[in-house]
Amino acid sequence: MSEELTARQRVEKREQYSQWINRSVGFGVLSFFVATALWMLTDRAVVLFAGLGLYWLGCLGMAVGYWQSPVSVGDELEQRMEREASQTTFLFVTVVAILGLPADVVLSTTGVYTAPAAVRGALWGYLLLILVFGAVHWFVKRQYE
Amino acid sequence: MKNEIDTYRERAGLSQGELATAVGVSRQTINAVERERYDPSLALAFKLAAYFECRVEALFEPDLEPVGE
Repeated sequence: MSEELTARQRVEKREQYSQWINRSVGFGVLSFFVATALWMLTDRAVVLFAGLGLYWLGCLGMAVGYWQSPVSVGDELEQRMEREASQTTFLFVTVVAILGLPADVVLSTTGVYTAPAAVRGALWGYLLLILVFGAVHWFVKRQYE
Repeated sequence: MKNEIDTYRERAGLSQGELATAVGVSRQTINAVERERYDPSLALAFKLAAYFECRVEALFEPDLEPVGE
């Protein structure tokens, strides 16, 4: 479908779907905050669940926007910026995991220091993220071979 | 990468936004290309050349390393 669009139509579609995505996210987040405020006033759990449902609905709207858009929602410069930001984030995750995990194992095993559960959870979560990246990278690489 | 996009654009009497719409990208992308902060994709480079009815080499001056042995 994207081949049939003119340049102007591509820009218009991109703006249209970006607007849909932003509104969906805004609706979901706002609903959740409103529901939380109402729950504090009413103390009824059903209000919180309703807020959660509306939040998920907003997330679904966002996903539908990305899936249904006939053009990439970000243009090539935006995609480049996202890639650079992702690379920097992943570098941070990798460095923290490489330095932190062995230190956590040594310190906790010897009993010198046991890091708080949240820190240990983050470190092992980072390791999981690296493994997921490795699997996805392998999958993507296969498509270029 | 050095380029002549702003020269061609101004000669055509276009704003960055108008050129961006004509080739299907955002105004920020055209601005970044003109300021040599971003090297466009091959597809965008060819679109720009097609729009201005010139060759890609007329728009861009790549700083290439010597090729070959």
